[in-house]
This record gives sequence, structure tokens and C-alpha cells, in this order.
Amino acid sequence: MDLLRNIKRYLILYWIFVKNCVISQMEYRINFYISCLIQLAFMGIKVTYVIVLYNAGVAINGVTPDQMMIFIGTYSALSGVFVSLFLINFSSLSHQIRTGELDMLIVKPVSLQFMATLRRIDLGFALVSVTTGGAMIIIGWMRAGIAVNFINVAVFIGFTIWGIFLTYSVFLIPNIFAFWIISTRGLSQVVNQMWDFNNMPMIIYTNIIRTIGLFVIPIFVITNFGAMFILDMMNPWLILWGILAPIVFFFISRSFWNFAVKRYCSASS
Amino acid sequence: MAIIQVNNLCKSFNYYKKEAGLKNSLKNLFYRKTLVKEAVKNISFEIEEGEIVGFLGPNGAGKTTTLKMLSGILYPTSGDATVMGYVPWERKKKFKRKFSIVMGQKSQLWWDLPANESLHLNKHIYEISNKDYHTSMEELAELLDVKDLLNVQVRRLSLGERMKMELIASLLHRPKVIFLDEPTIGLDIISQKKIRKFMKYYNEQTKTTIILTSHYMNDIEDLCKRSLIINQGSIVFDGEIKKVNELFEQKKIIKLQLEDYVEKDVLGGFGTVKQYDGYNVLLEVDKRELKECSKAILDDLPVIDFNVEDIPIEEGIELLYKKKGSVDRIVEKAY
Repeated sequence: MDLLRNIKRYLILYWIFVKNCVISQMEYRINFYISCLIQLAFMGIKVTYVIVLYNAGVAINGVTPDQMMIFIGTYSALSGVFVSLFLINFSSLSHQIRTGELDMLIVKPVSLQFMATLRRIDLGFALVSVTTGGAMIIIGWMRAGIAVNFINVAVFIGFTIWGIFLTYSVFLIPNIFAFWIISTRGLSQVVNQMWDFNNMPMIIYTNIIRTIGLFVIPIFVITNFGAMFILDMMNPWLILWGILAPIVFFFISRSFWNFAVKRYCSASS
Repeated sequence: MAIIQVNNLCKSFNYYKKEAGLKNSLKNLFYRKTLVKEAVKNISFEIEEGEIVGFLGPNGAGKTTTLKMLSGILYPTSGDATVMGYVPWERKKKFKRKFSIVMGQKSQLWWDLPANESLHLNKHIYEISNKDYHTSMEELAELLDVKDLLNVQVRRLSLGERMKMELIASLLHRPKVIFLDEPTIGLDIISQKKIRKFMKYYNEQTKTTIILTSHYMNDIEDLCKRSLIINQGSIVFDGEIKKVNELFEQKKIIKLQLEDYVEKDVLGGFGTVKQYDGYNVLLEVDKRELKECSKAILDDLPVIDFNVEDIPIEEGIELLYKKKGSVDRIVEKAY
């Protein structure tokens, strides 16, 4: 009962964060429009990839352009979610530590990790990329002739949501180092660049990159597994890892966060 | 039992120095000599429920660091403390529901939103019932005279109005202990006075325990029966602020208004001249010689007005800031 009550409480708090952020962003209309335009431009670049793919008409490692479209669509949609929900918070973590802004969050009777890493949301980014990414997935799905049945849809959505959960943990971990080194820009940039490996299906990469991307920094689990399942490219072990990886990495990020927070030394007032 | 107990609390920070210039920055990239600053050194004190205690000290003395340890923001290097029976740095949710910290230089309000949105968020953070939330908000807004400003964007409020909103946000959940870290910093005299009046009333009504740090003597004199003075990380005074001067040489100030112009050298024979313009004079004299000195002044000088006053508290505190005396002796003598 306590768990359910807590989940409900945190969902309400998250809803208030979303609401507050949307109201704040609408105060600055021009900025809101520009964010959307940047995302549109970004999506334009992605679409050119697709056009090139279709024009070439070549299958890479057995993946046809239509199937490729599903991978790129998933990547595009999740990129928006990643930036909108997580990156905006993670990149400000170091600032909050450096300036002591975290002080006012530590004293609240709510999980500090929840407050510090999830309270900012920028829907401008997500709006465009989820829409265009979603459209790409649907077009690719239809053109590739994949069955639209309950299992395919449910597992695809399930892996995608589970991937969002994994994204949170994987990309939070390097930012936690800010409790020691304060500025984590360099480290985060390296990890954030890895996100772009998801631009293409993992089967186009070499075995070493694939292994690292699956088990060490499991970025491929995030956007590949949903599409791979509906394309019948998954074996049971990969499915199991797809279910376990988000839990394992959440546990690692949570433990690391709790360890790091004890080192917080605030800033002079 | 005291609501706040602090025993031999210490906090050290690591830091390093760097000389100016690119060359030194390059050097610094490869080698840094770590230095340790002892921000708080073995401080001990107790505070009873319902007390308002002033926490004074020069910049960098360790006031805020102490408050941050007592509110669980910082882990101490060594020592113990309990607040309402909780160890603050264990950061238990039950503890966090019972206290509040207001920092004059840090905000918990959402900048682009009206204050009532931040208050509504706090309602859910502290799980305040609808009834209690509305009662508290109405009452606090009424007392602080900001009822009409609750739906105005925070960034459009004046500093004083914003501080009042910060206070409402911090008091909504009816904390038993409040740490106020320079709540009146940067405010005009009227706003300072209003906030002081509010805190005094609030303390009388709710018996909330308050620790207040401020550089404004009026805050301390108006609100705090007891003050702790901290300097270079150690407590150098614990007692009634008015007694600060008793710790030092017993001096009195004689304020004179003279009918005719008198040379400074002549006045120097009666005591130390602190202020002088030929007609208005401030003389500092030894308390033991006050009687003889006063008699001589009245006999020898063309006096129109004559007043004897204590040395201003600020001066006593300044001496404490400068003079790092025996901590135990001062604490024992004053409290």
C-alpha cells in the first residue's frame, strides 16, 4: 500500500513539474517556437538520411531501407524524449552542485534524485521529434509488411518505454561524477555522443562495438530492441537482457547517486 | 531535553590556491596543493524548544556551514548533533517534514511562475491536506500582507515581497524548527522591520524554535534573547547580546554638547576622544573613573547637555570578531 501511495505521490509531483515547466516555457513564446524549429531542422537532417537510403536502395547487413526507417524513427523519437526529459536536467546538475542550488532540494522530504534529475522538462524538443519519429516508425512498419498484431505492438512499445527508463540511468551515471569533479561537460559529451551510435541499427557495427553498446554502455538496448523484436532479430538471451538491463543500470545509478550525495559540499552563500 | 544539541561539531573543506595568470593556470593543471580550511571547529551548544537564537559572526566565520549541517545539507567532518532527536545528515524524511531553512540568497520559488504555483508544489511535497494548506496560506499571506501578490510572477516581485513568499513557502508545513540564514539581506528598513515583526509574532504564537543569522544588529536585538557569536569556526560568545560589552574593559561613553568651542587637546585630558567637532563630543572613559571624570567635565567645561551611554553593541561585537580570546572564559562569563 505504501508503495502504491508513493508511486501516486511521485506521479502527482511529476505532473506538477510538467505543468510548471510548460507554463514557464509559454512565458517565453519566441524561445518555445525556436526550440520547435530547431527540432524540425534536426528531423529534416534525419529525413535526408532516409531519402539517401531509399535512393541507394541497398540493404545493409540484411536490413532493408524500410526496416532501417523503423530504427531511425525510434532513434529520432527517443532522442527528443532524452533531451526533453533527461538531458536538460543532467546538464544542469553540475551547475546546481557548483552554485549550491542543490541545498534547497536536499531539505525537501522527497527523493533528491527525483527532484534534481527530473524536475525540468522541455516539451518543445519532444513534441516535434516524437511526432516525426512516430510517423517514420509507422511508415517503415507498413512498408516493411510487418504484422500489426497485439504482441508486436505491445512488445515494441514495451521495449521503447523500458528503453527510456534505461536512458535515464545510463546517461545519469557520468553526470554524477559532478559531485567530485564539479564540471562534467567533457565526460558527458563523450557519453552523449555515443547516443548517436543509435542512429543506425546495431547490426551494421563490428562485434566489439556491438558488445560494448549492449553490455558496457547499453545504448543499443535503448532504441534497437523494439525494432529488432518486430523484425524477428532477437534471441531469448537478448530479450532477457532487454528486460534486465534497465533494472541493473537503475540499481547502479541509484547506488552511485546515494554514495555521491554524501560528498556534496555545497557552495559558499 | 534541548530540541537542538550540538557536540564538538567540526567541518573542514579542501581547497587550493592559484596565483593569477595563464602560466599559473597551466601549472595548476598538473599540480595542485590541497589545503584544508576548518570552517567549523569543535562547536557545542544546546537550544531549548521555542527559543529564538541569533547566530552572529563575520563573513566566513562558519555560521552558514553550521546551519547547513543542522539542516542535513552537509555532512560534518566529526562531532554529533541532533535536531528534534534526529541526526540531520541522515536526511530522514520525517525530519525534513519538521523543519525549514530559509536562505536569503537562495530561492525555492519558481522564477517564472506566480508564487502560488510554488506553494502548491510544496503542498504536495509536504503532503499538506487541502484544509491545512488553505488555512496556512491565507493566514501567512494575511500576516505578511502579500495576499494580492500570490498570483504575480515571482520575477516581478520586489526583493522584500519575494522574501515574504519564501517565508510562506517555508512555513506552510508548520515546521517546529526554522533556520533563517540572513533572511533580511538586501532589504530596506521597512521590509526588514515587517519580517522581524512577523517572525516575532510567529514565534510567540507557535513556539517554533528559530536560529537566525544576520549581519543586521536590529534583527538580533529585536528577536533574540540569546545570541551565539562564532568567529573563525569557534563559538566565542553565548549569551544575551547586550552583555557583549561586559566581556571587555569596562568603558562608558560620555556624550557632550558644549556652549563654546573647546580644543581637542583639552578634551583629551578627560578621556579618549571618539568624535569631535568643537561643540559636540563623544568621550570614552573608564567605568571606574566615571564619577570623578563626570564631575571634572561639568566643573571645567561649558557643558549644555551631558549624557552617559554604554559602548554600542556593534563595537563590542567588532572587538569579538577581531579578538580571538579564550572561548570557554567568554561563554561562561556571559551566559
